[in-house]
Amino acid sequence: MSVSRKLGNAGVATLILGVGAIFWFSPRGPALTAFGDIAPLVLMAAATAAMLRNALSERHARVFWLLLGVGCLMWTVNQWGWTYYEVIVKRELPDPFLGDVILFIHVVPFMAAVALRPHRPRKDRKVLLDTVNFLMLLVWWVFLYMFMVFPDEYVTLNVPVYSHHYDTLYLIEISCWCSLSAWWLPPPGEPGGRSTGTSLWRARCIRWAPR
Amino acid sequence: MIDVAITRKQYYTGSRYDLLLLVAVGWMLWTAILARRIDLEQSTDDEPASRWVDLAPDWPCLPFFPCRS
Repeated sequence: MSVSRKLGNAGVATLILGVGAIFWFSPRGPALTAFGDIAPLVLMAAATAAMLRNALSERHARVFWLLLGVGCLMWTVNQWGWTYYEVIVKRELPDPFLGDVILFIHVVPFMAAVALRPHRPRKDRKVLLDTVNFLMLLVWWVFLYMFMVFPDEYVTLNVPVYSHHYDTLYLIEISCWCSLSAWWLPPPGEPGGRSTGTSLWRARCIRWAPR
Repeated sequence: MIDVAITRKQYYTGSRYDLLLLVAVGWMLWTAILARRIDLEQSTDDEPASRWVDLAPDWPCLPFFPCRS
């Protein structure tokens, strides 16, 4: 490992420890709330920009990065909702919160991106079929949301029930995405394992599930 | 994890749970940036990984109708 890489790793570790110390030891208040809302918002916006930039420059995996960018954009919109209510308006988040629907749907483009398996040769890929698969994936998860969460969220408000159903369904959705990522994408070292950063992506989603 | 903490009334913005969120989003950002620097090559393996892997994208269709061969 080169010296610059060691320094970079040490810098990242220090940054994480520093931010962790802020979250751990800072007293609860407006400043901590603002930091807790704005820092993820900035990172999500940067991730969206980086992925959409990859979509513009990467010819072979354009749709893959585009879908990831769209998912990140939806995640950013959700985080903007949190920031708007807690930092700008200084109010409790409403319940039900429209951003919850966006947050739930944002995993669908991530799933579709992984389902494309961008490391595979493109010769057998059909754009129409990919589109149909994406739409079916979207309809499937929206259907599950409408069936399990929507009645207790928007028809007759029952917060404990809808929260429980939402958490369960979201956990299932994230687990599906992580499992499919681990299954479909090649490990590092195998052909295609380093292509389009998918091995890094797999490593990421196995460890962490987004909010 | 954060959703469960919200349901249990343990979460507030700026709590320790947000560190996980920041690390996750930071990792995604790092992945997107790193992908521009590494050598992008497609797999030369033309063989499908397995029959199940090829069927997997179709499972969401099953509740609606048999959609594709």
